Amino acid sequence: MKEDRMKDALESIARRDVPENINLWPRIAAGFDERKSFIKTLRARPMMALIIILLTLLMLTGVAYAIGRFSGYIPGVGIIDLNAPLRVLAEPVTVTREGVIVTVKEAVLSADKTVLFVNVEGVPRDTYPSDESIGCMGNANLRLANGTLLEGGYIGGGGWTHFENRLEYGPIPANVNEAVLTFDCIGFTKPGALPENWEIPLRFAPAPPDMTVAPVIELFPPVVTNIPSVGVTSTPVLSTTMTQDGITFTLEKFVEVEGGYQLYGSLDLSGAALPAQGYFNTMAVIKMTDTSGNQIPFEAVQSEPQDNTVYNPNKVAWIYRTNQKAFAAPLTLTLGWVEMQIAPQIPFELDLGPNPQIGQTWEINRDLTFEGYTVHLLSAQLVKSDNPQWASFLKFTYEDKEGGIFINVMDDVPQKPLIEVAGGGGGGGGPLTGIRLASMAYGEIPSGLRRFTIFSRVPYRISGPWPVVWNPPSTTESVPTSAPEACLTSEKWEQIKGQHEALPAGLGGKILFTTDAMPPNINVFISNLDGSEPRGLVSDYYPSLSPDGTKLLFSTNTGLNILDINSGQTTALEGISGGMSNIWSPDGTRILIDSGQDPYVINADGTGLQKIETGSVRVNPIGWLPDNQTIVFGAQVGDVYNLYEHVFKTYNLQTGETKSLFPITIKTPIGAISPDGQWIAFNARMFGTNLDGAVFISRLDGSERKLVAMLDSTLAFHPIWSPDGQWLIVNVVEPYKPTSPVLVNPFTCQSVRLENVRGEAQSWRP
Amino acid sequence: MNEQEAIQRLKRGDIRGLETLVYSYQVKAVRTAYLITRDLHVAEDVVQDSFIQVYHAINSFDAARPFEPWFLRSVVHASVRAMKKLTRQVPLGEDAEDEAFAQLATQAESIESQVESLEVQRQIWEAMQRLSPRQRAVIVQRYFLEMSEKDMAAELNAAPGTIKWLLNAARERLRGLLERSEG
Repeated sequence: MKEDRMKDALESIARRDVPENINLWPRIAAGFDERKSFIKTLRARPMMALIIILLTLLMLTGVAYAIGRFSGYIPGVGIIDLNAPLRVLAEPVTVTREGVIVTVKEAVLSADKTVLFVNVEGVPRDTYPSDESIGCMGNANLRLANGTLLEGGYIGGGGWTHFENRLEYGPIPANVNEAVLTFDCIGFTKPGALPENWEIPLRFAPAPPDMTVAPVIELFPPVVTNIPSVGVTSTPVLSTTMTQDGITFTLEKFVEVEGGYQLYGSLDLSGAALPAQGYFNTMAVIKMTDTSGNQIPFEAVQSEPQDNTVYNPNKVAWIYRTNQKAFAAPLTLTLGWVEMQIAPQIPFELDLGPNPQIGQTWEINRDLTFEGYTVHLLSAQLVKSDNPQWASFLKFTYEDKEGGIFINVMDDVPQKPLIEVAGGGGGGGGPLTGIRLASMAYGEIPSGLRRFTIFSRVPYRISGPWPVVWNPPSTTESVPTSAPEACLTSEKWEQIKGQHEALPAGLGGKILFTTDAMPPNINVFISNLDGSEPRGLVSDYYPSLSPDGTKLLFSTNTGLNILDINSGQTTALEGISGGMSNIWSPDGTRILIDSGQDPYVINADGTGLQKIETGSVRVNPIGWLPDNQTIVFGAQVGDVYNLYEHVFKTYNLQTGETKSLFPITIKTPIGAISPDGQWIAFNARMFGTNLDGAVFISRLDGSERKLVAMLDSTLAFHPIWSPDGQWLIVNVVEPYKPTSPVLVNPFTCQSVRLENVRGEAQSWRP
Repeated sequence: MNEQEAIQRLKRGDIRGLETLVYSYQVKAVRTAYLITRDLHVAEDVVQDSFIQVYHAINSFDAARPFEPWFLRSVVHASVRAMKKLTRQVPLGEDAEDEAFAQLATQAESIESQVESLEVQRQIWEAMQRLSPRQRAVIVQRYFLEMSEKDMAAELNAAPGTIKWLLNAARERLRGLLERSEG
């Protein structure tokens, strides 16, 4: 049992350095839409069908660029060193063992890397573990004739029956034209379930003469361009690199690819006056504008390994891609600000007296300001620990005035025997600027003058701008018309989130929202639209409020329940589970139940369960039309692997008629039908949006589509309509910060942040 | 929504099932990864990727079994793998690793006999930093995640030799220390 002591020590370390209030979800959600499968790209564009870019056609716009004579670009492979002749696989090699077919399809060998593309088929699904084991690793190495082993790849598809892997290794000497690909197993499968110890001999040959490699245009030394029209009066001449306040933002090179350009650069913080106590989770927001100031959409390239050959914790490489080649040049890439998180500390003393008692409370009432973010430390209370290992807890109660600020408390010289320093704190208390707890556990009753270090985790921003300029090659293509700007943009968001603006006249009603608190803490609240009079209801992730605002549908471990908000009485809907996106009919008599696949409709009293056969493998309920008979949902097109293609459909419960409305590209359709049934608000993918897509409205047939919200590094999602159908609430999620609902009038673009609501708005009722 | 429901959702490809799992396990997962990678930023990246891996691998997961150990083991694997990619410094030699590991075992004795201050934590942390990522994974799995030795041997995919030997040696030493302490 005493081995627990080591566990305690490790837990203390982890708790000290990894706060409770981590929120990875925005980044993970972003990753899903960003991780457009490399495999998919390869399938769509076989590597050998490379883009042919002839140097003679490369017309440069009055700027002498240095063409990278020693590097080139191959889609899927990335930038390669051309100092040695390129080689490829002499021929594809297939090895079949017990029905598992492994084919090394392609390879590219350059002076700096070796890249293989391996296709695996015929992996039975039942060879993946059915218990909690993760399976074997599938480490894949390249063995050369002299015994040299190149490591770093792995073969595996995590549950899939067929998949492709890209394996990257260091260079193979130019005089070595043979190697053996070895791997111990098919990754993630059960050990022994499939043939192991694979060896696949490979031969390499000179690349064919018609294999084209796109030239990489190096921008070194930095290229300077005069762009007085951008309105940067202090710096009329911009360069491809800019240093200010010790931060250097550089566009290093670019390459022409199919449909646009890829830009390569770096952000170097080495010279900046960074927080002495260290920082983490650095974010930077970059914009691209043309000579008229119009924004140019671009996206980060995720599928290509970035240049990390020289490890520098203060320098990050980036790769961006445009989806057009014609621009009103020159273009300006502007790094607006760099934001990181820091953990400032504040020393604090509390005299517990000579003989403190369990239950004793010390009033503190002191503001603690962490680099501009203030919490109000209310009190400390000594409580008995339920854990027999510990004698007591000292619980600090504080008010988070900013929202999303958590503190950790450490006793600097804890009395023996200290077991654990617990920090963070629960989400107890209110939903807005919550009352929170931070606790320390002691092996006995602490006493006397205690000295603590209290630290928090707050954002630290270094503001720019750092503009750099880029002159893309000229083209005969016409410059595409700039897309209309969204109502809610990053600039607008930055502007309104610091304002204290009253609600627009005439707006009111109740909203249901969920906070970041984890169950079992209450995380579902109802309040006035301005956030006043919040009332905690239940703990659930996907609650739904009835049209009259009196009933709440929510799920528990045992199924769906309806809470009568006025009486507090809860009624279970027997025999129904699930329900993450459940929607009441406009008259409140029925509920559309989300099952992930075919949805259900049920009467509000739990009777009349009806399954809606849609013929789609995945269905996401969207809403009801005003007739109370027609439901709207997003249906995935094709098979289960076709994750991004959906179509909005209607289904009439009386006639059984299904109608297709319009297609959208998104991983998970989210949307809402306006109360008059004339509009649909929804999230959809759009080039240049990095997260779950942008928020649009359109007519139900897809016409009159209008962009409502699109933010650069921030997720805008889950639109809900106002009772009068004139406004939307769009939920905005900045990384590491609480969700902020924003009122947006999609017709006038007026936008107001609901500053007193820190959570995700779910419903808006009169 | 409970865990079982979230997993069922995820098996159907619904990303919102993953959201529930993220909120449930992200803190412990990041802490696990942090103890191995020693870098919060890297740890968060590892866990982020591990959750995405969960999305792809969820069909191989038996929903009747607990999700947490299954997931945290994948985090350990990913942490070790990440460190192999990220480690730029000259690797410690075998002797240096042994020395650091022995020192860590000594710290276990410290904990047994003292368990008194943050200094112990600091010393353990420093000792851990002298271990290779795989050795750190051994410590984290055994003491932070409380995995059995059998499970660890199956999960670590360690080549015969250094890691297993060090694990056994450390456990023997720790056991001896504990027995003496209890005696």
